[in-house]
Amino acid sequence: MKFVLRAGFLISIILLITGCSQDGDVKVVNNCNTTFTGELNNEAITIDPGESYSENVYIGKRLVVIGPDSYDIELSGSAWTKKEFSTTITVKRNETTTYTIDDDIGAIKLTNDYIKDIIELRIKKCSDTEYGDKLINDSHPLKPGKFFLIKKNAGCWDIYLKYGRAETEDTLKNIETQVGVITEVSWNPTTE
Amino acid sequence: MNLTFKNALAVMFLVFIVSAPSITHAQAQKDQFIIDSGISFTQATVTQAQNGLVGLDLQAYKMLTNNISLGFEAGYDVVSFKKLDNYYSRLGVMPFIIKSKYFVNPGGRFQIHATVGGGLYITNPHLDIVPVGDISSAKTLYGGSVGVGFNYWYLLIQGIGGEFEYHFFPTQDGSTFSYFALRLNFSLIKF
Repeated sequence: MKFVLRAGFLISIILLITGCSQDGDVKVVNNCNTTFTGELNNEAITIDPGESYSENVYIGKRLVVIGPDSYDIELSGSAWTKKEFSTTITVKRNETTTYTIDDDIGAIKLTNDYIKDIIELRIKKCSDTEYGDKLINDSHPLKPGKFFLIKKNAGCWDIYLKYGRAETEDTLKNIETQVGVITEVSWNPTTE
Repeated sequence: MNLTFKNALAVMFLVFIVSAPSITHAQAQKDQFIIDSGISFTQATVTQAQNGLVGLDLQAYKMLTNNISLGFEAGYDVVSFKKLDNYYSRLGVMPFIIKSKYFVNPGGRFQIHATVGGGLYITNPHLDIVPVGDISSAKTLYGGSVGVGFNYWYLLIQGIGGEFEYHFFPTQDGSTFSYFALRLNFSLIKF
């Protein structure tokens, strides 16, 4: 009977140390100048500029030294001044893992300030001769009062557009962009 | 009290049963068989593992020597279990492994052992979206186990025991899935 009691005590001790739940925290800091929207660990998140988002992440079960001490989660998303990205964050147990999102691109915010639809829009570097592919076409025109965001690296850009049923052409020249900066352009051919 | 021959035989038998373990080897000897039927607490030790639940296992061995046996273990272990709104998310593992036990007899009715085994593990997941330790579908995988335990032979051929067994097998994603079983055994020796 003494052995049974000893064994029971041993089992109790083992039970006490078995199957410990492990977790850690992840903190995503938005250092961008614009709002970040995306998914963290399959949950939609939005982080304002300069703000952060924290979440407790369940890692798994661990037996003394056996078992996981970290867990990989996915972070994906973009901001107006951050390219679309997807990354893996390794969350360590009993720690706060911080991931910082930084600006890596600029953007042109083109507002249609005219009374007619923009039915075609192309862009090129100021130094290039040819405009690129259509960013707007007549099946999805840019309505009056609406804006269109064009993410671009730092540099000088020219915009070509067509508007109205007559497909009248216009250009916007020498628009400067910088990483982390939204360059706002209001287009209205009557006020040039 | 009249001690009849029949009563005397009964008393002698009882005395033999009670004292036999201490006057003979209670443990199985060479060429004998041991059958262990066990119920265990089984717990996965991997990422996203939830609380473990229960395992039911059957083991059978033949004693190759007085200390070493060879046999098999088969069972069904629920190693991760979580009640969701209207669903029981769970991961079952069915071990079918060849095992060897090494016994040490400190004396009396007590016996301790160490085990090593290897064979098939069939995963049987009924999970929500998140995989448990990279297991998200039914697979047949190869792995092994190590364990330690004890037996207490309270009768000549019957005993109870406790066992801690650690199972591990590589998944198809390259990670190692592992779980342990904390088992209570009921053991029989077959001559």
